[in-house]
Amino acid sequence: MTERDLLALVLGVALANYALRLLPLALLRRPLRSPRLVAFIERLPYAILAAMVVPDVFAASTTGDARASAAGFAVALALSLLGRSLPLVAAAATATAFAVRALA
Amino acid sequence: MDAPDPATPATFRRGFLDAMPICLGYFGVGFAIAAASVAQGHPVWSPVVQSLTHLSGTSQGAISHRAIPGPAGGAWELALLCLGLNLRYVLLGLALAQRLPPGIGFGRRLLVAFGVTDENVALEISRPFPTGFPYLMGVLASSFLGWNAGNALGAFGTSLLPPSAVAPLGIALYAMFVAIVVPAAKASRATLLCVVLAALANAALRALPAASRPAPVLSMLLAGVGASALCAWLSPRKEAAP
Repeated sequence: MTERDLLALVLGVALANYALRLLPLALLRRPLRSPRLVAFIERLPYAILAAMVVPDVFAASTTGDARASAAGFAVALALSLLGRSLPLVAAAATATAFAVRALA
Repeated sequence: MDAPDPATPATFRRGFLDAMPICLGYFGVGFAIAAASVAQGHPVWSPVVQSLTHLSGTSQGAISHRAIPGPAGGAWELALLCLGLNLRYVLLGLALAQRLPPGIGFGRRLLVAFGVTDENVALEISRPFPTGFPYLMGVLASSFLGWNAGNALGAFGTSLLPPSAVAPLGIALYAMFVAIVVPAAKASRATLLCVVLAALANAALRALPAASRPAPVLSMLLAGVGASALCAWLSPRKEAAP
């Protein structure tokens, strides 16, 4: 992807996000009635994010070192399970990846 | 903290201050996303333009996840993936629309829509007092400021360092995705099943022989849509309203 493509993508996504946000405020004003549709829309981002993580997080290209990636992922998983906040999880996983790469 | 009079709508200042925790949180996340995307080879303008034009960590994370310059093509798949990630804004907007006081016309709704994020809407609909237009704008100003300051500092700061030194920052994006998914999966068994299925399905699709394998972004989208559809059919949401 060139920088030109990237700019088109960024502006396109900005526009689409805005449309998704405006739609319910401007047009639909009643809640969605289908429990299956609501369940689908609610879980879709989590499912896509999970697919974005596995298996790419184990690739060497993520951090330049597959061991650093795996260690960072393990720390992120453990701290998230313990209920830690997002910025803390991101900082701890990054620190772990830096430490493993420096030591390995 | 003084208790606001429930009869008078809250002010801009009140919204701005109430949203301070969001502002600080967005600063940290914005910094990490921008730093990770520049570490992945994105130009500095990429996170800066994205944070100025829309407040969305998930789609910005998805775009940053894509190394630039990378293989040609794939922009359409990525745009579709972002659409899937952000379809939930419709639910958030509906939840907020139920709580908007009467008299907020179309022009003002154009501005209100810009500030629809998980955190902002959660704050706005949980207030025990009426949250009129000034309050919503205060929340938007606060969150926009934090998000953009974080993105700008993360992008410019990282661009000053050599690429090899910042490579481990790539893990920050994945850690953020994990930190978003895990609490949702802990809260609901159906969501847990859904995310595990999506991860396994994507790993399986990516292990196919090269000739029959979909492009990486397309396989993420297929895995996510397939797992959510299956789980929605198996376990619909109990109450229809968001």
